[in-house]
Amino acid sequence: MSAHRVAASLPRIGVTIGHTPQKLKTGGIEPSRRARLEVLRRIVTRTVREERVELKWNRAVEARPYVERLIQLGVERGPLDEYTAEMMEWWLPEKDLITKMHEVIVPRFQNRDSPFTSLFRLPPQRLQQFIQNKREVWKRYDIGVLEIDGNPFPAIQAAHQEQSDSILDVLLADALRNHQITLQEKLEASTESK
Amino acid sequence: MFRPAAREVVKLPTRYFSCKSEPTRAVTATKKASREEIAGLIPAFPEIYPDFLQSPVWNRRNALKEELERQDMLERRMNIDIPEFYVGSIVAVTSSDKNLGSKEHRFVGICIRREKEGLLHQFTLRNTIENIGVEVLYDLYNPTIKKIETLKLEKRLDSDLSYLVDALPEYSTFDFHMEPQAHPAGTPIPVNECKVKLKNPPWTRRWEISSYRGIDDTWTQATPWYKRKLHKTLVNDYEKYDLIANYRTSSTKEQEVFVQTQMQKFEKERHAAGLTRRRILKSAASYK
Amino acid sequence: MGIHRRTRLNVVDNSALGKEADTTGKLPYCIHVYKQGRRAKHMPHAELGDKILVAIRGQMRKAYVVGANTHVHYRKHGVPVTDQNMIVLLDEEGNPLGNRITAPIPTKLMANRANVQFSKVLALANKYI
Repeated sequence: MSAHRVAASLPRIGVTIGHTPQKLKTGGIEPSRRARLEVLRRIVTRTVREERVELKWNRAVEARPYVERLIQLGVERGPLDEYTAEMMEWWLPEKDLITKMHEVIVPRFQNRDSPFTSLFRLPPQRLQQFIQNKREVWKRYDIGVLEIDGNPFPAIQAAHQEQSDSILDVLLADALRNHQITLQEKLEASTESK
Repeated sequence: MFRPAAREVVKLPTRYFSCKSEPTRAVTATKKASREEIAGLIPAFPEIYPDFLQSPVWNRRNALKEELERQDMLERRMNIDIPEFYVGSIVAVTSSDKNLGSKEHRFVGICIRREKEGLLHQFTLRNTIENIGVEVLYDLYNPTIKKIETLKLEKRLDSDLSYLVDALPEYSTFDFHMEPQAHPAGTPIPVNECKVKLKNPPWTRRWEISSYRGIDDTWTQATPWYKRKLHKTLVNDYEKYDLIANYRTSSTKEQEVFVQTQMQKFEKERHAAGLTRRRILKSAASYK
Repeated sequence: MGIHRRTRLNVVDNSALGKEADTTGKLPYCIHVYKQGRRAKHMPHAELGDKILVAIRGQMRKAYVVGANTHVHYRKHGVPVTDQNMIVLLDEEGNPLGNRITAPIPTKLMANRANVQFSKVLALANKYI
């Protein structure tokens, strides 16, 4: 049991959270729980600053609940709460971001429940690492895009189209299109002949 | 006539995107507002009813087990009045004891721990009797308990007072014939901000590592040998910033609301049956 | 973690031997537990009401445990746990060495009333917790 209660209960976070914290590569820093938090802090800060960030997929998945929880603290408790202020101060070391959080991001979600962020998977990237004795070493990266909802950028995903994958529908759509094109050709031919 | 060019147009432009959670743009109906609407909910529920919380270990949470245990707990609470008490409150427990002539045994002490969830919930009382520290652990739902009284309703700075073992005996000495002090309904629970002086080390546990707020300056009391030893230890103050580690072990608002509405419903049914007027869901601080 | 070999104990009766041990600060310690166990190496731990053999002031004495400091994980509902391990010394015949117990003892010990030796110890107690 903890020495004193950390946080009064908050609503459930509406995103996938693994049952155990995942290890993250901490380039340069000695791997530890502290280093992991440090990596996550950078990602969270960057996400709040840029509102849409491209990350390695596993890092994006790991950082997403932290962004969610920070926004949730702002929504549920407000900037005057002691615990919220402490957490914001640590997770957003740049002071202007705390102001942005409370004045720009939190008001968007005042009447909404979690999730406040979206995560998209991009096609995997294959990058050249190094060349050793004419041997090229390539590496494949899974890329994710983490964004805070309601951001000013154009949407990542196109608006959903009414479309069926059924073979009958596809053939029918093709047939209709072909029919339309033939009609168009006929029309053009008739206008040319006149 | 088949035209492959036409087939190309049909292809989805977002073929490679897999969206795990589609942003809920259209959602305006909010669960948040509906949570606040339900009347009679207790804000400090997890503190008053730690036995109704879920396990802090995620993969031990089992909805069916919790439901069955909750039924038994509510049934028991209808038979015995379990008052509100916190870690730091002074509690008297009367339990049946076949060894004594009176067949009844009463123990008074400060509550130093409340552990475990569900039917196995335990609390420990501590008192000093003739300069000997005595701790008694009670299972809250054990049928041998006849009566639980809260003699003084208050909180301390910590939610775990195990360090009283290593504190001077005056901090855990309480009179067995203490008069119960009534708590005025509707007022917040007082927090006793007393800081405890520890005996000289060695202690049973290294209290200085966990950030206990109710201990009076452990560093100056420590001997040079301990100071050298503590100098090398791992500082893990940053752990409290791990928001999701806290989330994994804590309960959620939704669960609390669910349990409270269930308790209200149970209470209502029993009251309607006319057998009892006992209230299960109550809080001294938010009494109206 | 229970009373076993080399556990230091406090004598709570008013026998001269116990008082001497207390004033000199050389506390008696357990050297054997009179209990069934699989092997000597895996000697069982003494609990409330068990008989043990202690080394005190260069002598070996039998004693009854009348108060035990149990680990938090091994505590039972309603059984008091004292901060010290308390014993009452016995003489060679198995009768208590002192004639009064100076500390409160748990009521759970009264379950052992049927034992003739132990009932003599219980007769000396003046306060129960």
